[in-house]
Amino acid sequence: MSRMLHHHGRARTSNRVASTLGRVIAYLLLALMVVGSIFPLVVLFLTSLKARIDVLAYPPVWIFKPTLDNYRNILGTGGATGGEIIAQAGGTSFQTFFTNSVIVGTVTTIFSLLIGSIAAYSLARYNFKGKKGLAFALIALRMVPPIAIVIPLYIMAARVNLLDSKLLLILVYTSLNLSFVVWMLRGFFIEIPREVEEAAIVDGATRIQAFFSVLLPLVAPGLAATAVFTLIQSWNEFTVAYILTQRASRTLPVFLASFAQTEEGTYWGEIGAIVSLVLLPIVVFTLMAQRHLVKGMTMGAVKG
Amino acid sequence: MNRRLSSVTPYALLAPAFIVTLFVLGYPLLYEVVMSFRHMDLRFLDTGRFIGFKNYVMLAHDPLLWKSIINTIVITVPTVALEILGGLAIALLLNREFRGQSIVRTLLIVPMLLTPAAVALIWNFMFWTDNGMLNYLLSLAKLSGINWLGDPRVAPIAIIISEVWQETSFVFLILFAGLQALPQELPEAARVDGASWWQELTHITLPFLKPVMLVALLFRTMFTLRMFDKIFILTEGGPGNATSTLSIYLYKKFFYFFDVGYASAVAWLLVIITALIGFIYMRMMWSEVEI
Repeated sequence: MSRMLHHHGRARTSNRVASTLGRVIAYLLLALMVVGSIFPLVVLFLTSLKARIDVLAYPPVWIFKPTLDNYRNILGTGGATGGEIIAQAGGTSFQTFFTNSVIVGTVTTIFSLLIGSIAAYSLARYNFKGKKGLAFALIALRMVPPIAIVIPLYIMAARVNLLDSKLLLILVYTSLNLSFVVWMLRGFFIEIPREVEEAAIVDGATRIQAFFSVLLPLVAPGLAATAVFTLIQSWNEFTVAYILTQRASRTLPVFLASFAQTEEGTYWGEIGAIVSLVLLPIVVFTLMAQRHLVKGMTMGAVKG
Repeated sequence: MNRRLSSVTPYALLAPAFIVTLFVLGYPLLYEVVMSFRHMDLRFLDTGRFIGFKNYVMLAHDPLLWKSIINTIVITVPTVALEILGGLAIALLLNREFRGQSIVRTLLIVPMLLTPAAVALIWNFMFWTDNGMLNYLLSLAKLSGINWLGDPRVAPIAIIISEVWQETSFVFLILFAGLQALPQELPEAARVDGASWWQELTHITLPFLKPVMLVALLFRTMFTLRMFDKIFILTEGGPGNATSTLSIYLYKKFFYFFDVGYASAVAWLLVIITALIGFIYMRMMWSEVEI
């Protein structure tokens, strides 16, 4: 090999060296980016496995005897610290915040998919007057910044005694997610040829039957991806949850925020544990829906 | 099928989505316009009294509002610029075939998926002045520690770091998708013609990516302008008003000063700015989509 290179002359050899060097630099940079993008996360996760003495150690220790004490504290099976932290956050237990997040997320997802799928079907399969305008309006409303509508929502909800209810959060999240769901599902429906449903209708099925028993199963992967995104959106949402809840309906992000500006470092182990518990389901879920990520994130403006 | 029935069906199918959206987003947005012309106190929850354009006149003469607008720009512009540059760099670096490419891609998009409130805490931990990781790394480089969140000159930079860390992966993801659509013959032909790496980038790759980059730019600008969670958790707009953006300012006017009318006017300002950017975005998107 080296002899062959020699035969081809010096110019080609130096070219080759340059391109190998370029490749090495490229890989080094990539490695740096990967480290940078997970390092902070890993550091806090490691801290969640540290005993208090290791948490406060300076310089930071990298080799330590791991403990699950922080998780025990948070989940209420540990000593007084856990209770102290939860009380500081204005809650009764980690489990209450977790349950609220699960209920709000699940019901929001079910509502959004039910309402969104029939709307998407309408946009994908029918031609009608004003279609373009209606689709535009639906997407335009998605651009509204949540922080900008919490004021009227707060006032209106307070008047009808809906503040601090899961129902309120579910309603707001459903409408914030709807245009996204409609747009995603519309894309998936369009990919299925009309003839598939028409064949079922010829065979005596009603249009509704054809929709539920033929079309929906065919777009099941897309439906699942959309559900995962909706679930994550409501799982992650902070602004609306923080402002429209007070105690009973607080979700996990609001719980997280109650540790803001903890500079003393007393609770970093426990905070690490909570952060890890909140993030775990997201990481698992998104890896499942990774294929549809791009399409979902840009509402189809960029094809994935 | 009955003709009359079929002409009603599409509207009926859209109705639930529209009723929910108009009721929960549309109506409050309009009500907010009404409130912005009134003097209302949060503590009474009444309808207040009509004061015409007074809130908007106050808005124009409020130095803290102008400070918030400047802060919003000071945070948004570098954030989006760094995200675009970083996202582009990563997309270009990753756009080659090698073993483990998909694992690297997955690791790189992790930050984007995380709960923003959790990201704020992660960075709160990194910024910890006494025993924090960043100051430790600085000390390894023989540099003195920084009061990341307590120094008004540094706090906006801290916010920018946490946001760029999380959202660069979003830009990377869509630029990477854009790159995958680049026909392979183009760069190959250029290379045969002896084009350098730089020429290939500036004459082929970047022009091809332009529409996708614009989408990323508009999208990120819209979402950075409204950022609330990270700033609120990391600095609550402080120290002083160093990181008080429009979102934080309207929140404080509402919850700390109970001034519903004034906060509504600020909120509408944010809506209008977002709508302008959103309008360009929609026009771009609309030309691509067949409805």
